[in-house]
Amino acid sequence: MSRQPLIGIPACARTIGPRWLSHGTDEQYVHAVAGYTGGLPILIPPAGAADVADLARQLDGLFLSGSPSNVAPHHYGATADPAKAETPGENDHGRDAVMLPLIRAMIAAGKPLLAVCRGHQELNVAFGGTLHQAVHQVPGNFDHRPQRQLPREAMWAPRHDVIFAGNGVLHRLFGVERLTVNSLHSQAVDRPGERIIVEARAEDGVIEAIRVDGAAFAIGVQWHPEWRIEDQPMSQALFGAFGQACRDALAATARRAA
Amino acid sequence: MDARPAAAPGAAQPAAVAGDSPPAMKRATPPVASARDPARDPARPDHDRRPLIAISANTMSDNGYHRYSTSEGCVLAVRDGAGGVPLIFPGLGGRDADALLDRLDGLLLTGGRANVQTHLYDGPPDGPGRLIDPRRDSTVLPLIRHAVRRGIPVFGLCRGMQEINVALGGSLFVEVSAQPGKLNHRMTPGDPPEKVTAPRHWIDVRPGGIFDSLFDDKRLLVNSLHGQAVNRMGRNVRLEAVCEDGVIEAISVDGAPGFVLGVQWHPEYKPVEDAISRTLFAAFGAACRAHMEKRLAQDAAVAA
Repeated sequence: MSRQPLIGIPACARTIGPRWLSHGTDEQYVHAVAGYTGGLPILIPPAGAADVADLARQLDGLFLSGSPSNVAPHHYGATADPAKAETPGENDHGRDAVMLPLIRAMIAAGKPLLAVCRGHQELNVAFGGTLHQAVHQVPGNFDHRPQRQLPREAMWAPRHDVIFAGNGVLHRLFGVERLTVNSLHSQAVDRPGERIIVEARAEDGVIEAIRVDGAAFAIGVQWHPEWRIEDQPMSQALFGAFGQACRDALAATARRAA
Repeated sequence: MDARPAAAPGAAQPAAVAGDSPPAMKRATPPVASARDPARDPARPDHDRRPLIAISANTMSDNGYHRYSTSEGCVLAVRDGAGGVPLIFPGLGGRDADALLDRLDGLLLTGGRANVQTHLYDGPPDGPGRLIDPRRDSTVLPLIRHAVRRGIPVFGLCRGMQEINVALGGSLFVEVSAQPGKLNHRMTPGDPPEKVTAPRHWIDVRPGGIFDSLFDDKRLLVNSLHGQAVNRMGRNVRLEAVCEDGVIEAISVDGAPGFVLGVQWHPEYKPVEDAISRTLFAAFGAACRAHMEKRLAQDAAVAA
């Protein structure tokens, strides 16, 4: 049976106009999953944690996207800056409520997970880790935030190096010590959670990639490998490895059903 | 946090304008089992599972970025009205339609501001400035044809009903309210949402179809927020209900192996509270659940 894996992507909340709430995601995430994993992307709207068991059973992989919103700080024992918490779009409680338990359920079910930017931060929080809410304010760090004064392509262009930990999954996958990546984030992983292994750091020490110890495939990266993936062989390799892990998970599910 | 600006006011176009339904019917339809508390049969290993119901995505443009999304109302209608796990399928074209349907138990086709492109049904050319969504068209139309053939439940709302008709070879009126003798089926711009989504006109249920079997009342009051409407019905499309002015308000497909239903109005605005909406979503949800049981049994048999 040559079936394609079903790969979930969170649908984020966005208010349109004064009233209508919509759930969706940007094409860059959908197209990278559709084009470079061999899987079928499907969006998961935040309909509540009651869906988590069904989703973990029926999905073969989870791709956690970036988003303009941030993980609500109470999920990692921190308090929000009150001014920031009031900003429209700062939080997406519906996404948090589904994705934090779904991350744990997918990993418990042996299913693969690839997480970028907010997703990478979410992965760390799901395992009890914490986040910097303004990583550029940490002394000695450089500014990782998007340079909004630049034209779009320049804003998304590779900007700084990350250095891979020896013998890490990404070090083996990419076969290089360093990679120049884009950088469009104001938050970052602070204390790694339980089972979270650091895979890469920027030169200022900011954690740029993680994995979950003992999981078949669970990788988070702080940058956006999906952006212009057609021009990025390393990003294609990352999505390709994730897709292979999803096919393996699908095959394992089929064996269990037999 | 990524580089996307916060939603620019007015930059995105609304995906779907939800609708209302009458607050009370002359005679209530029989109560349906709560979707969140499905009848459970401990003899079935999958008794606690819920069907995967995928909702069509509208393609929205926002500050140069494109986004696949649907309205919250449709998500909640799947969860609370149909008792399913809501998912959203993006507009990636029809290439993987069969592979996707292998994994799903039903399709909910939503409303949308954009119109079905007229070249898909030999209509007059789309004029400049007319909102279209080619990604949605190229995805949904093949999915409908595969789903209808395979017996996977399909429920179309407003634009979704029009898509069912076009997918099966039918045609649309581009602006039905401009046809002689027709009521105004559009919303009035500037009206408050409560008024926009309030019930507006009566429909007559035709004998012998799904509506006839679901409703004791043969006249129902529904909302109305559409420009296009079904003109020539597609292959095996059956008339389920018609407006007092003759506009086609609900369709099904004769001889389809599974549940296929389209309604021209917006039952998702009050999927549980409103009696008509509740009956429709419960019927769709029951069909999706039946399909899920068949699908899981087939998966197990293939794997064995």
